[in-house]
Amino acid sequence: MQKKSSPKNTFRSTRGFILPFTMLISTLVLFITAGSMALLSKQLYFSKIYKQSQTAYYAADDAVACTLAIDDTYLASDGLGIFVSSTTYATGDSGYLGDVITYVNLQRSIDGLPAITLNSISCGQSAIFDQALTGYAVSATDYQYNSPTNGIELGKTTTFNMRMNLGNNTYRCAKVTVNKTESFRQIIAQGYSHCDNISSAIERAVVNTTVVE
Amino acid sequence: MKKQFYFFTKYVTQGFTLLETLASVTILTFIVIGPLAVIISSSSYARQTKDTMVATYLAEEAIELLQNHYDSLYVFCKKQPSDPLCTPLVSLPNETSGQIAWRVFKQRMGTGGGTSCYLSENSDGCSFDYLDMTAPITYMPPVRYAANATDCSSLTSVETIPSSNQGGQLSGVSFFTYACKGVLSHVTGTVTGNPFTRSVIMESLPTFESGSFYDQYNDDVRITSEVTFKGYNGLTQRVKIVRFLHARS
Repeated sequence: MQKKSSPKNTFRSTRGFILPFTMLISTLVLFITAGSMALLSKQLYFSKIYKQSQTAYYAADDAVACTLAIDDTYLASDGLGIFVSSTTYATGDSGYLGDVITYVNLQRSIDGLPAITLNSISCGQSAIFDQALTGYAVSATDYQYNSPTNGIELGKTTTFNMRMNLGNNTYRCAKVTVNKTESFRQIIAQGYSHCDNISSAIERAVVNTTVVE
Repeated sequence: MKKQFYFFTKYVTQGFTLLETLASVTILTFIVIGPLAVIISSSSYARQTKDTMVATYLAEEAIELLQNHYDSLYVFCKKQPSDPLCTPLVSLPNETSGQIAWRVFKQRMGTGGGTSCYLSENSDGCSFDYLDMTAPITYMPPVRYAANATDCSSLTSVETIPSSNQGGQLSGVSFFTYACKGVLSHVTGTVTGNPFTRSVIMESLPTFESGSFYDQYNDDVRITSEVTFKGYNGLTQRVKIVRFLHARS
């Protein structure tokens, strides 16, 4: 009986063996491939994010360098920079900024140089104090700095947006916040990976703090 | 019946294994070729990523070297204002050390110090390496080459610094750097690896000042550093970085 049934069973067991086996292998390989593809697409996403992140960092870093250069170059008669720090000053042409420009022009006239206007001050071809272009604004509320030596110091917060010209119709954008009192200056620059539709851009921030002791 | 069934089963499975095998091989081939192609291209991209990273660092290095040169001039003129390098202009006796450093820096990078890096004076831009730009500040204006000249048209990885470099100041120093391939005093022995070309273009962005850009203190300098190399597919790959430099007060 065993001898008779053996060839029949063997024949049945090998029937359709390769195709199911292939399907099994194919399924396994497909799963592995799907996993690899998911991994690769994530890697592509991260490399794209890294590139955008670098662009955003450059924007923030350049904005900090610009803000520092402008605040250290255009000084009031008391030696403080052009960004408002005193709570008693009004802003605008007739206020603190006007006083700074008057003093800067006085110094320039001593050197035989022509007078400048507030809107002609720019960095990276971005006119910082042109409200229409940069949204330059000084906060109505005072900024509070807790000085380790002098206690609470009051100052002002200035904000503006920068659109730096890289040439070939390409731009680099950043939002700058300057918190400033008489002995303290904090520049917070938020750089963006692209200028259009900033809400979807990658953002990197650089903070620069200066304390006068 | 049993005999018939046995016969029928035997009949329909005749030659089925061959067809099945062919189908299997075809399916497996398609299944394997896809991932294999992905793995091969991903491996090539990985190799190219290495070159892209080197190119990015080289592009950043050029800007950092220029920033370093201006900063070194600034510190030098602050500390040694009586040095001939830091003499104020006769027409502007109140020139601050920051302004002097800015003027000297721009003059050195222009035609006054060899091959100009300014777009208005040299549309191809300039090229240099780490060894040229890290010479002592009083040594001489840093050497630059036309970006398309054979001296420095490509940068290559070197290990040992020849003793003739910078008057022998770096002799005996052994470290890896990328040097101008065509400058014999910068390169010794056999050089290997993918060569990179680097061109640096400087532009003065005037604000409210007019006249020669060398004498402007409130302008910005825009630096465009571009590094190119051959990708794995033979196409030229490009990394471009743009940064700004400003005068200090």
